[in-house]
Amino acid sequence: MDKKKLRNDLLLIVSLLVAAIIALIVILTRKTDKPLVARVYVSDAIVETIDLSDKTERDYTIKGKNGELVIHVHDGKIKVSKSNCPHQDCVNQGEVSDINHPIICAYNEVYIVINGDANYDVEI
Amino acid sequence: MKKIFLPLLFCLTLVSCSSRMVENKDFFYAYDTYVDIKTYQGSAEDIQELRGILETFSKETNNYQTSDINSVSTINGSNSEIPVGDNLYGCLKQADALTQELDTYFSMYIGSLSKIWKETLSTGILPDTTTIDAELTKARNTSLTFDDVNQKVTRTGSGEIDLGAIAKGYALDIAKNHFKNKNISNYIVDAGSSSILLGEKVTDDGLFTIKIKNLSETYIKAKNVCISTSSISEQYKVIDGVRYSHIVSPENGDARPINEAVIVLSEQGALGDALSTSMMMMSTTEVVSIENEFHVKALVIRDRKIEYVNKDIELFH
Amino acid sequence: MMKESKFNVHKMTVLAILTAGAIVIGILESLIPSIGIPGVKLGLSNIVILVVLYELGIWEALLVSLSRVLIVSLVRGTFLSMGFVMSLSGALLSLGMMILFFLLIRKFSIIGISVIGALFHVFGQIAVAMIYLSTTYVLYYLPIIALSAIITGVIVGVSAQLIINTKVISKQKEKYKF
Repeated sequence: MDKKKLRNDLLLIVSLLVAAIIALIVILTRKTDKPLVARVYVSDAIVETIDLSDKTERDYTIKGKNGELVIHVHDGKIKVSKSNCPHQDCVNQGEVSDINHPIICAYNEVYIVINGDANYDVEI
Repeated sequence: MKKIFLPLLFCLTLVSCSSRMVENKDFFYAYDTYVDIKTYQGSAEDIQELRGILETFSKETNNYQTSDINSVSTINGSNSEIPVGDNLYGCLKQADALTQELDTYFSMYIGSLSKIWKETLSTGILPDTTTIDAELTKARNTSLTFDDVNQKVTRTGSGEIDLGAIAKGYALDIAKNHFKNKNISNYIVDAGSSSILLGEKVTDDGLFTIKIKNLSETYIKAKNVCISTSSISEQYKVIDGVRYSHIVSPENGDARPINEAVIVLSEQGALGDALSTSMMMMSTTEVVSIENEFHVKALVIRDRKIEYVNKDIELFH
Repeated sequence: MMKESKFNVHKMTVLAILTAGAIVIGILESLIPSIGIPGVKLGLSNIVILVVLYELGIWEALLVSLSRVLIVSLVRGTFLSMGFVMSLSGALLSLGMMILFFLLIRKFSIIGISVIGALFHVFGQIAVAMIYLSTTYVLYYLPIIALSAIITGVIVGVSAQLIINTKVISKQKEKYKF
């Protein structure tokens, strides 16, 4: 094997790994002090805004493009507990509690994202 | 035996798992606005029941249209004894008591004058002083007698009853009572943003965060309280450079409140609603004195900034 | 005298076997659940694609790659779905970039090219996911997916090289003159 090419490979792989790890660390350590809210999108429109600061354990039923799914909220964590999608990727995703970390159900065109910017419950 | 046991156990777990909490909410039109009820406790039936009660109450307090039940319109069209339902009776009684207590600031009998001003807001033609004076006289000469035993009311005089300044607040009290009976402590009832009933959030402090529309980035936190807001920012008309609104003073029949918006925090919704309307025409000194008399907290906005805020209300930005 | 022709039965046979291999890998791979973004796969079929690219040529690699995408989607029942478009986009972008580096920018060995191929494979898939779902939130998963792609790329590259070293295909080429 060409030693020069192998050296280039190594450089490439190492720099890519470093970049990916840094990006991963940045994403995982993003925090916000604001009370969290989860937004549920179906085909691009927000259908539900879920206040995560309220710790009541509760379910939401969402009508997606090709079926229904049930979102379970508890103690500031959100997950899809039931879905009619064939691959169950969204259910397997498990619990999410950090911001910008989406749960995606492509079959139903549903995705759920936690943002940190709903800072009021009601407006007067 | 084993073959039945495991599936049976499985089924039992399913059954116990199915009694989960869901967000119960309802959104419907009543009191000339949209009412939003939200709770994480109770059942869908509890909310439906409340909705039914509130929709009926909305019909009962309507002074523009008659319906199949005895309402304010019915009373306004007669001087004989009219039997009314529990909620309407309670509301009329409270409105009457407040009319007497708040005298120049609040009257439930200026219904026809309010209608005249509502016309003005769309036509731009000011009512003349003779009309206003006649209306005021009419209002002062109108009263209600209450028959507690039979739950009947009798109107004396020709003034029209208008519960607009108190009905939504009273509806909040109905809701609060309903939740109490159902052991629900977590709830928000939002009637068109101007009448809000707050229970408690399931968080460490249980406080809700409330954004104030008329101010930029200003919030307050509260729980287990009624918040009544009166404001001219949504319903007003400028005639000859002066802003006229839908809030009429029972003292001089005028519709030019001193303040831009008033927010009242009170334990009782009907009281808060009536006071927030009355305070629109009060100076700060008067507001403070009413606060002390009725044990409420107020925030007064004038010229898009805070004119006065009760020292116990903490503001967040 | 044997004519050197583009249509060589023996070549076709070899390509068919390799394609079948890519398909089997593709089907098995589709059974592994994706992390976060549905439809994003490891790209293990690239072992075959790389071997074909190095041993048999660009067009042959394209043929095998497209056949793989098409047939796996037909078998899994995802033909014309979002997953299919993701797969197609990933395969094309990946192959395109591998060809670019293989032919023009000859600075990397098969391992480097495999890593590039693996990365662009997931880039293509994620780009399609972003368009279908109209959101940039999927990018949350990019670092972790890229990380796994880089590692997969190295493994795939090394495996491809090992297969090439066995000279199985070179021997066929020599024997049947294609």
